[in-house]
Amino acid sequence: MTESCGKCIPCRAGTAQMYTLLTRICNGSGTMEDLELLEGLCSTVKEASLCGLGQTAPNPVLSTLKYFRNEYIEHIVHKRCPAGVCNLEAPVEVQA
Amino acid sequence: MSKLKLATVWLDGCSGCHMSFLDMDERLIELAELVDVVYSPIVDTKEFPDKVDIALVEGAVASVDDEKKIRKIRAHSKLLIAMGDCAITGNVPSMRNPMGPEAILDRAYIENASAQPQIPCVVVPKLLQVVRPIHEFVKVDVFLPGCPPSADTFHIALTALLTGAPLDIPALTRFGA
Amino acid sequence: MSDAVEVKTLVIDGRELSARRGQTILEVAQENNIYIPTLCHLEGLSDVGACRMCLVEIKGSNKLLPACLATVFESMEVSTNTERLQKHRRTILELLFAERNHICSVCVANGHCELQALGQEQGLTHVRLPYRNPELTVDASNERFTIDHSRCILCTRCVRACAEIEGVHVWDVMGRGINSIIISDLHEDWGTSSCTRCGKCVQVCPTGALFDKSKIGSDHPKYPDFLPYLNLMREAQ
Repeated sequence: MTESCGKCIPCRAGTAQMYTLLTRICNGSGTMEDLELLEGLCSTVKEASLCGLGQTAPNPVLSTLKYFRNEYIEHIVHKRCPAGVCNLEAPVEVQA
Repeated sequence: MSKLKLATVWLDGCSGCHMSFLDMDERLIELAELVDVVYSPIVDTKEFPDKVDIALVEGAVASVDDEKKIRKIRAHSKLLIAMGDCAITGNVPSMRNPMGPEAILDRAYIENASAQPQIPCVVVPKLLQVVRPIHEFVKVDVFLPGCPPSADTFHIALTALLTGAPLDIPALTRFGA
Repeated sequence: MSDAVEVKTLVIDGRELSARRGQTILEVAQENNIYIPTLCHLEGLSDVGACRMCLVEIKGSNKLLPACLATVFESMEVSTNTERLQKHRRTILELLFAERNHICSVCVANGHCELQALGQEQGLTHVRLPYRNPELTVDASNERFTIDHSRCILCTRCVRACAEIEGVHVWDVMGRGINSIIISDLHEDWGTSSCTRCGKCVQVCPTGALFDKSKIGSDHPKYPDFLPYLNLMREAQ
């Protein structure tokens, strides 16, 4: 995100939005819609960016979504980080 | 066939969407043959009813009270329509987002107060840190942008939704229309 | 022989067309009344391919190309409005609406805004992405015009109009990524910069980011079509 030059929109705003969505998921306030949104956003950043930076920036997210999707879902549904990396102990907004 | 139950709700908005809704004028009589208005700022019911078929929601979610309301509305409504730009984008209420609620309260109740400057803390609901559109809290079925959506837009969209006719919203209205 | 115009034949959206060598896909499409949405492109200015709205699909290639910059080649097959392109265009518009503070209802460009019009045309009824709501400034130090960064989409039309047409290059982009911002001179107030007050940047701005102070409400149509004529007249001299 900090490497983006800012010329084209998908990379400039897209990587920043990816970061926002990932942060939401990691701190336990993400939803399954966010996951779907993240996936769609990654595909736009990858395919529509002007240069190689934007075109490859979503790769880590896309490959973790491919091989570790269950960990994403674990964060969203059970508010738990299987790898013990994310701090999910903070009080989480409970859906009514 | 029994009439469908229609509710209209006013969250953080200017009520302009409701005014525009009323601007349907004589077409409201047509509409009244298809629906019963069970809850609205313009009728006397105080509690949101249990089962509503269509809920029209004006305004953004700006306070803890708005958030509670929108979750209740979603739970009790079959079809939820976001009515107007505030409900869809945050619009004018969201203009405070870059500054935060404290700055706004200070401006309104301390800086410009001519007597007893104090920030209200009882009775009035607490403001959320940021004003957000309703679809960031609950699932929204139909989005009707516009500030406000015109009476014609309301008429065409509601008729289509009630009769099941095809509805092309971007052809009718846009953000800020 | 060398003066002869080399003709390429190609297919755009199923229509067989011919074009001159060196023409861009966008030029050929426009000559043949095939619509491709654009935002940073403006006739009379150089193209930068930054907004990615005009991306098209080329048969045989997985890569999407910007129609404003990609030149035609013999027997290329172009699709301008596939489902994949529509999806990307909508996402790009959502990114723009969520990036800064675009409040259409109170904007001076309401009803004359290219971003707003594109949103409607591409069927956008809401933005799924979270709004970023950054705190941005307004520079009203110029006696005639104002720049409101909340409404800027960084298309750089103003930068190009000022540098290429007016020849002053007051505007440029500072910073990088999401923190990029349009600045006058070396980040000075617009009013005390080397600006000539010609107003070309205001006319080419697709949104309400640059506007004339004498206009109130949403009474601010813009007329960027003077550029090709200006260029034509200059070439004739």
